[in-house]
Amino acid sequence: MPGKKLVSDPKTMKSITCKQAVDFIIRKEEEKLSFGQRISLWRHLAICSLCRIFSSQNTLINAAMKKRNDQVLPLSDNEKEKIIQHVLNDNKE
Amino acid sequence: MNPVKPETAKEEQFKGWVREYSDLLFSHAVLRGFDHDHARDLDQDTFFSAWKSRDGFEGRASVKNWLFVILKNKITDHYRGKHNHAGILLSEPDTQFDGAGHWAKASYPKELTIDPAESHDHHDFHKILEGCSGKLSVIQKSVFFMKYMDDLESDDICLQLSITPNNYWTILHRAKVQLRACLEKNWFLIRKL
Repeated sequence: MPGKKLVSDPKTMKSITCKQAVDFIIRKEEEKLSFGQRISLWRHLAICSLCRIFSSQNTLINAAMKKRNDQVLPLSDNEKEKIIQHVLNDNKE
Repeated sequence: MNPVKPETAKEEQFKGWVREYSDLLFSHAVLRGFDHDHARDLDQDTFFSAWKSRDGFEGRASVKNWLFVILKNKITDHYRGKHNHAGILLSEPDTQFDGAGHWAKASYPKELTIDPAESHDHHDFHKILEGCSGKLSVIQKSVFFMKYMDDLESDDICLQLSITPNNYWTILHRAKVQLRACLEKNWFLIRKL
């Protein structure tokens, strides 16, 4: 509330836009936020439901991307033999 | 006894590598946004390089790791060739936010209700994610997949793709917001049916 400063550094009290909040949410994954930025983000999320939704969708996307790693798409035996033929024949004079 | 010629033995060993690892290399490339033909070419190129440098390998590392290093280098080379697209991409206006930095009305995020117990939901979600990530630009895909699938740190990705940290964060930011919008749109589309 105006007039009541909880933190002495005025920078930590700066309010941020949704665009900046999204930027902070993404940087936070790599712990690239300063203390002041973390406070700003926290304050923004407290009052902005749209960015809260973004944040949860972001978490969902990240987890799903990790899972993609487990997929194996098989190649047919025929395709494998083709690779062998190509490589071995092209390297023979 | 028939002595096996050393070269023949190497060929046999090589065939074993292709049979065992070509699936994994192919999948790796496809999951990083390459179409099947391109992924097959990268796969073959990897084995081509591996065969040519077979004498240098001599069991120093695991075969699988060695092959993956070769493939990843080829993928990075491909991406790096496209890094000048970053400029074009970044000059496009960001339509997801208005001039004041608020969400644009048309792109207000909506809650996706995904039931974690419902495998049907997960299947749909992954299918949509596949389609949506395929729509990202080459540079967005490269940054995105290196970060979220290969677990690389931003400094490393910037170095490999020769882009500035500022560009990196902007590319990632836009990719995320775009992907989110695409996911949401398609999610509600199938839910309405």
